[in-house]
Amino acid sequence: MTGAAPTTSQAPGRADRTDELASNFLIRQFDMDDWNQADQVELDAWLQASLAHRTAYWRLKAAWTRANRLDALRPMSVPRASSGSHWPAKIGTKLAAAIVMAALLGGGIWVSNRPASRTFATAVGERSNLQLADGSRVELTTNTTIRVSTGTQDRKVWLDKGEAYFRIVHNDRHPFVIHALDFKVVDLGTEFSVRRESDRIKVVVLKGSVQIDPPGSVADDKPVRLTAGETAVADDKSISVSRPSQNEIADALSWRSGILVFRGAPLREVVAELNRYNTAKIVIDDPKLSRLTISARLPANDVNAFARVAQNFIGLKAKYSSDEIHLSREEK
Amino acid sequence: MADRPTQEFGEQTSPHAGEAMRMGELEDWFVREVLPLEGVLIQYLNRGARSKADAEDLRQDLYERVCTAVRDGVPNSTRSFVFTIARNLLIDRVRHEQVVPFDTVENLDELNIAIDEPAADRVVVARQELRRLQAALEKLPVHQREAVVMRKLNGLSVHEIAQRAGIAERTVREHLADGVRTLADILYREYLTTERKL
Repeated sequence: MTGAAPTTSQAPGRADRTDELASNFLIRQFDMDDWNQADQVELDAWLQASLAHRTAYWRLKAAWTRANRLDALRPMSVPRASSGSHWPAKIGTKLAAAIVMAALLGGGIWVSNRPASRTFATAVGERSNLQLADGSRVELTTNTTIRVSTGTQDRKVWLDKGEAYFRIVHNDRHPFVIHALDFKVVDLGTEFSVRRESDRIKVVVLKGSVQIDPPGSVADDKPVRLTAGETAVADDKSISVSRPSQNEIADALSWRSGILVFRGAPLREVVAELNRYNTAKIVIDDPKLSRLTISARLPANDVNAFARVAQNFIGLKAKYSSDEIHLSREEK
Repeated sequence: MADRPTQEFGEQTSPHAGEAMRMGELEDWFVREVLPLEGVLIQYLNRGARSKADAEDLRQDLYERVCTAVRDGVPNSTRSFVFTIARNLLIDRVRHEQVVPFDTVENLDELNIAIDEPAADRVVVARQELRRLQAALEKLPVHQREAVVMRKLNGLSVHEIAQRAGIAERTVREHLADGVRTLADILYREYLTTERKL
């Protein structure tokens, strides 16, 4: 393991010194806040000096990028602030700062018992894990806002937008209720996700069961009970329940580890989903392309990965502009 | 947007790069095709090396040569391309230096047979990758591991790690820099023993 420990008694060779320099550049560039233009110029000059410098830098950068996957192991009580890039985002919001402080104190987020609701939000490309005062846990995906009110009498969450996964500490006397659109999703001892779209909600139940209480306007107007392995789509006309395969359930929840899974999904759906997670948006220039069906596992926060798939496997043309990637058919 | 393919951050095509391959493409190719061979390559180079540090120097020279040569055209088989260059590198050594162990040259051909085997399936599913990363983490020296875990797994900033561990930011930075080097060595060298065919 040459080049590993700085305290090695062996006099390091040229390559070890190159690796050391490369690793110093890399950490300063990707892990420090004070990386500036002058540093970049210095790095560029160093890289241009020799291909040996470049390969050393590439090699370490590739390993460091791979290590980003470790965030899948992040314990629930520690906040998550994944970003749109390969590199962990700087934790930007005041909320996140509060989360970090709470985590440093050893707890995660402890929402106080005040009945007033508190708002938690993620930006596009961010994910966040919360621990509520009652021990229940909530994972927020990209671009999601919830308000939480966990008083002593009732426990309520309003899903104002986006999608969240709930692991509820069940309490018969104090049901946990999620409000989304006009629906109420009531915990009956369970783990489940709720996703709010413009005119409907989707519920996926992994464990236990939940009850969906429709608003008065829904035709049959009866609460619907979902058990583990079931999903429901509820809009203002009906609540339809289905029981997909275990794989499909896992796919529907794969965003929790930063992955999106599509099986025979139309391109427009894939693009819409990716655009939820990324500030750089994909635009389909040719409407006929929208109907192409795609099966793929894609990193949620890497539009470029998708653009590469589109180019190399589907044969589309990708044109990059500052914050958009335009897909069109390859001109022959 | 860390890796827009045509516009690698902080990279410019160097004046002598030619039109054949841009730096970004070269990096992609190198990471994808060459790095996974590092485990067998380093074993191979060790045969002609005087010390561990010397083997690393050979590796550095090899990567430089490989990346120079590939600009004239991407080979069909990276494996034989890279090992041919490695072999030439060792032969040059044997010719110019008396100190190289005598059996190096004899063993070259024998090794060459071994390296013509089809490459192991390099497609790694996320879960396997995660297991490998976990195993690699466990092998890191304790200070490096703590720093890497707090940074990559818990997503803390260097500043926060320093506060939490009660050490200087500079020290955290050093642990991380040491950590990334150790991690690269583990990930690219212990590959052979942990890899399973899908």
